[in-house]
Amino acid sequence: MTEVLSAHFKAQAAEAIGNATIQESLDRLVNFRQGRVDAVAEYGQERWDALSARARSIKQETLEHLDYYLDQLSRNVERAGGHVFFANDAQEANDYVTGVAKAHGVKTVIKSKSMVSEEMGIAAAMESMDIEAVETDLGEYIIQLAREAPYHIIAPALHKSKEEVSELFQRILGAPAESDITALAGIARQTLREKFLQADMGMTGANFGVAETGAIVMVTNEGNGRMCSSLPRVHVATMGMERVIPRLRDVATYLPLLTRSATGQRISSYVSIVNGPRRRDEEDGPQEFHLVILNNGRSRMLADPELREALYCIRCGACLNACPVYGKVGGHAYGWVYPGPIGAVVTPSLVGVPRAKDLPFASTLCGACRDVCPLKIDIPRMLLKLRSDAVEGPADVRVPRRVESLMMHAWRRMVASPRLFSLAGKAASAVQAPLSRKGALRWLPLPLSGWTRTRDFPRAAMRPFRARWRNDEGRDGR
Amino acid sequence: MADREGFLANIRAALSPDQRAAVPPAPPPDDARERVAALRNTSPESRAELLAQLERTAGLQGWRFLKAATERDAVAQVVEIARRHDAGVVVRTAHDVLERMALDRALADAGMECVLLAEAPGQLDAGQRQEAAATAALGVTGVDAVIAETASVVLVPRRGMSRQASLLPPVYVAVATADQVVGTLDDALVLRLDEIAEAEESSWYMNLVSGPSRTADIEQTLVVGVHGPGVVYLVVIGD
Repeated sequence: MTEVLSAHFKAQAAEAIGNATIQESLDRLVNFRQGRVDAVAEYGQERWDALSARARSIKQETLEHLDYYLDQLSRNVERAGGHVFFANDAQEANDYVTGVAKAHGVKTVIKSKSMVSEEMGIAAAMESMDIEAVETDLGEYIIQLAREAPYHIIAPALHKSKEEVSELFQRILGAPAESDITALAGIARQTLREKFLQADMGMTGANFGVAETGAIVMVTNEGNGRMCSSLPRVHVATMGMERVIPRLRDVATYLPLLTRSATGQRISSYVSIVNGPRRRDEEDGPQEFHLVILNNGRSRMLADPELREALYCIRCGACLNACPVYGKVGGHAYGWVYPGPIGAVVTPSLVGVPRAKDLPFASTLCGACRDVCPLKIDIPRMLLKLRSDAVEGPADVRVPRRVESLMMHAWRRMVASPRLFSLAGKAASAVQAPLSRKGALRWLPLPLSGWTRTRDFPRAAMRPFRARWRNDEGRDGR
Repeated sequence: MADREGFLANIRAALSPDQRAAVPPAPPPDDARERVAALRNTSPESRAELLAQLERTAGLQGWRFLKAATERDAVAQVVEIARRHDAGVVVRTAHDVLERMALDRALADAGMECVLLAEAPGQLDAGQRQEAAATAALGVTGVDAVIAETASVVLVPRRGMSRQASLLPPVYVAVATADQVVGTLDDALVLRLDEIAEAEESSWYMNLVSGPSRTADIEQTLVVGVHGPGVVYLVVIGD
C-alpha cells in the first residue's frame, strides 16, 4: 500500500503555502469551478437536481445490498469470460496482479489513471519485480517521472509548471528543452506510443462497475484508457468495492454528474464500457480480462452509519476545487492518495484516525464541498464526527491532545463557578492592556500562543458585563 | 471462486445492523419497451431537431461536422479530408456504410491506399494490422449510433469493427447516417439493451468517442491529440 504521510500535514501544508509556483497552480482551480457552474447551467438546474437525487438514492440502495450487487457483478464478469479477484487489502490485490503479470511473462505494463491503483501502490510493487509499469495519463506520467504522488484526483500534475515538466523530460527522457505546452505533450505522446504498442498488459481503473451486465465503465479524455484496455493481450481493471451500480441505464445517471462536476465537460472524450475479453471472433482487444475488487478498509466505513455516505463518492474532485483549505495547502499536504475534503474523510477512515489525525481538522466547515458535491455528500458532518472520534473516541482511535484537553477542563471549571468566572474576567482585563492592539490581542503567552500565531484573540471588555448590569448601564433601553 | 464468499461475508457482517430485505427491492417500473418503440419511430420533425442539436454540440465538442445529402457526397467529402491530411494510407473498418460508399475505390482513384482492418484470407495478420493502424494518417469507421446531447459516436467493437481504426491514427473520420442519431446516452443504452436481448449476446462492449483526444494536464492548457486522434470529423448522411 502507498505510504501514509498524513501525520505530517502541518509541515506539508506550510511548504505548499510558501511555494509561489504551487500557489499559482492552485489559483487555476478557478477554471474547474467555473467549468462546473457553466456545465450545470447548460444541463439545467432542475434536471441536474433530479439527477443528483436519483444518483444518491441509487447509491444508498446499492450499498445497503452491496453483497448482492458485487455477487451479481462478479458472476456476470465470469459469464463473459473474465476473471474476478476479491482483494481484502492492498497487499492481496498487488500479489494477485503481479501474479497475473508473472504468469504471462509480462515485461511492460501500461496503466491508465486509477485512484485505487494508487492506493495499492501497484507501480512500486511491479517495479520491485523488475516489471516496467508506465503511467499513460499525461499528468500521471509527469508525477511518475518526478516520483511524486498525485496532487489532485483528476489533475495529478496540477502543481507542476511547464518549466518543471520540461526540466523533467530533459533530465529523464533526454528530451530537448521546450517551453511550448503542445510540444511537451508531443514528447509524451511519442514516448508513450511506443510503450502502448509493445506492452503485454494494460491496467485501468473502473469509474463504475455495472452489476446487471458485468461491465466496467472507464472515462478518459486522452484515450489512454481505451488503449490500455484494447491493445495489450491482458487487461486488468481495479475498482473499489463501492463503485458498483445496479443497471446499465444507471450509467446515464452517473456519467453526466461525473464529467460535468469534474472538468465542466458534457462528457469526456472517451468512455468505454467493457465486459470481459475480446469476443471469440473479434480481431483485436485483450485475450484475457481480470477485475480486481478491493475492500482495503471500506467495510469499516460501510459498517459505520455516520461514515457510509463517504462511499457514495464518484471521485469527481469538485470538492477539492471548491475547498478554501485545499486551494491553499494543495494535494500533497494530505499525505496520501485522496486529498481535499473527501480525502480528509476517506483517509482517516481507511488508514485510521491516529495516522491522519490532522486531516479532520483541516477544514473551515464552510460547507462548500457539500454544496458542489453531485451526490450531496455531507462532508462537514463526517469531519465533525471524525474530530469527535479523535478527541473522545475509543482508546485506539483517540489522539491525545493533552494541552488542549487540560485547557478545556480549566475552562469548564471556570465557567461553572460564578466566582471563578468573575475573577478570571477581572484578571483578564487587568493584564491584557500591554498585549492588545486595535481592540484585539495579537500575542498571548504559552500555552495560548498557538492560537495567536495565526489568529487574533478578542479583547475582554474593560468593564465586565456583570458589573455593567449591576450599575444599570445595560438597562437604559428598557 | 474461493475468496468471493469470505469477501461477501465481511460485507454482510458490516451491513448486519441494517434493517434490510434479503434481496434489493425490484427496480422501478421500466419504460424501456415504450422508449424503444418511440426511438424506432422518430418523426421527421424530431429527427430534424436532433440533427440541429447534434450540429451544435459537435462543434462544441471539437468535431468538424459535415452533412452529406447522399453516400456519393459523403465519399467525396472523405476523399477530400484524406487529401487535406496528405494521407498515403487510410485504415477503415468493415461497416456497411463504408462498403456502400465504395470508399476503397474512391481513395484508390485519388491515389491513396485504403486498408481494411479485418481478418480475411490472404489479408494482413494481427501484427500487420496494428502496424497499419499505427502508421496510417487517417482512420475511417461507420458507427452504431450518435448521441446528439453530447456529440458522442457509439462504436460497438465486433468482428470486422477494429478498435484501432478510431484510436491510433492522428485523424479520425466517423461516418453516420441521420437515422442513427438519438437524443441522449440513456436512449443509446436502451437501444443497445434491446438489441442484446434480441440477439442473446453476452458482449456489452461499447465505446463512446465525443471529440478529439484531449488533455489539460500541464497548466490547465488544452492540448488535443495527446494519445488518440487530435483531429476528428463527423460526417452525417441524409436528413
